[in-house]
Amino acid sequence: MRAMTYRGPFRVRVEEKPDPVIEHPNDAIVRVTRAAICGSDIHLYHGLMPDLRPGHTFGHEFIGVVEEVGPNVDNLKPGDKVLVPFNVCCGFCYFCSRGQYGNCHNTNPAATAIGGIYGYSHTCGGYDGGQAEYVRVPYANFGPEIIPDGISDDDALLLTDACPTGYHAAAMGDIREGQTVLIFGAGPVGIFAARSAWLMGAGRVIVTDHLDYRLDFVSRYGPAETVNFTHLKDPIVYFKKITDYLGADVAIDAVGADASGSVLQALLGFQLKMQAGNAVALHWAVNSVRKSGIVVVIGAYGPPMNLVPLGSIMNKGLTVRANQCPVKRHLPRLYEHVRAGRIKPSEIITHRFPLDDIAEGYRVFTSKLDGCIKPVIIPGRAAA
Amino acid sequence: MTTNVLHPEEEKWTRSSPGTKRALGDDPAPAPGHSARNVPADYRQVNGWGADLDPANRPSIPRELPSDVTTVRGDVRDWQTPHQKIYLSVEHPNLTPVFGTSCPPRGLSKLLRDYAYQFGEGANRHWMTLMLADRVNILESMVSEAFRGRPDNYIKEKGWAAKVKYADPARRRNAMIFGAAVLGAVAVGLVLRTTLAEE
Repeated sequence: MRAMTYRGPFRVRVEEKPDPVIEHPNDAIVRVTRAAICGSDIHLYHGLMPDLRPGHTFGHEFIGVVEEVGPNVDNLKPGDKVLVPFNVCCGFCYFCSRGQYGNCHNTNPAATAIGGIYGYSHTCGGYDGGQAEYVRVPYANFGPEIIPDGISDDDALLLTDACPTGYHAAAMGDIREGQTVLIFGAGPVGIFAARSAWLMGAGRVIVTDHLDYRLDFVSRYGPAETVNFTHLKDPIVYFKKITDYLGADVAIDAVGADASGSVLQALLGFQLKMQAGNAVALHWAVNSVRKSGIVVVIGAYGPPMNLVPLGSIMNKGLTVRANQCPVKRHLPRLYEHVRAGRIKPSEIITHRFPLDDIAEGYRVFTSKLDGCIKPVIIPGRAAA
Repeated sequence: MTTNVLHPEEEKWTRSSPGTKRALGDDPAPAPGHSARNVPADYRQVNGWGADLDPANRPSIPRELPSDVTTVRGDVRDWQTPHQKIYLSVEHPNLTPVFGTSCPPRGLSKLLRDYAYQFGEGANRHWMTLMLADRVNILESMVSEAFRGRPDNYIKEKGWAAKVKYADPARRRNAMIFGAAVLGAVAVGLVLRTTLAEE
């Protein structure tokens, strides 16, 4: 099969790989019809994730058609169109049984700190991802869902990660009526977090980024107040000022390890690899939220550590909420939102690339070319 | 929707008073780059506002669903058979029932990974050695792929064609003018050099 492979930092290509096979009775093989490049794939693309081996296939956002199922899979059959949540999860371990599907303990031998994720390095289980023609889906009797009526393929694709993750970020903020929510990052997750914050009753939603075209988009899609922090001498002072010097009730870091905005953080995180990327968004979130407020970390950070102001977290009495999104838990409610027109996930798609041009897709996404917000990858056999 | 059972901690905020919407403060002139042009004055007018205000509509409440499972693995019925080296975190009791089989380790980078996985996930040696192994692995792969007749093509793998194809039109025009000027200068230089040499 044709599959994207990682060659080194900032380098990917498409090559022939052996087709995946059933390796466990609960496996399925899915023929990918659409995949997406996620903002968190950029952390991999930049080589920031440990145990990321050349030849690995990325892609944790994908939908497709079931080609083959293992003997224990009785809820799917060949030909079913499925969306596959990015969490590889068993459904019955200590954590899955409590609904924490992002923390499954049965799918990632390499680490206990994180569950299995498709195409996200060997630190996340060593599973090849969906930026390929075929993909092996473990625990197919639990993870994938048949795409329901009223949900388009493009909407289904965005419901595998970006949309539920943004919704989960807002949910972790425990937003109450009228509260002010400050979101760092106007990428896909930040955009969906802004939309979701209104559903949860926010009174004010502010999104900050350094890219005007993304701020323009979220100002309409959210809608949201937007602030380009590059115009500000001190963004934190400004965020305090525009919230009557209290600070936001909820601050959401929807950026993660690839942030911009601090020379020191970039030097230590990117050039010297002394910390897991650039944690400036989280730093600003902690400083911008009000005392007793909630800081939500939904942006991805790798191990081992980051520079964040722990003293302020303690002294301000903050609650920090964070987790990988348990996608399956949110899907039933999100289907309702999509059908009711309250969320339109596919509207953030800006670009489509054939699988063979995926290197250009990564370049366009990472270099923020051509107003790119969300690129979709179409494998060759799906395009034919 | 089914009604979720609230954890006592999560009930607290549902009973507490709502927050107060704050406007742009007393600042009559927001900073350049700050816009609220698309936000309705009354936040209740936003499409879908408050649909999930009731905690019963929020699927992530309670944070942990009730469960009788007390063991970390739960009731595992079937185990995947490893046919290659699968690294196991020392913080796991045993191999997980399923695992990925992408990119079996080999070479010097395998030795480094062998070393790294002796340490727990809280140890810097674990993660930093894996980062080193990744870099060594890239060099190993460059060599082995070249021998297999599939050498790395840096220009294509970095997607540089997109830089031209999707560049901002003004920047692309400036780059073309600059390129034409450089080529012109080189051409003039060659002509002058030939002319002078003939004289």
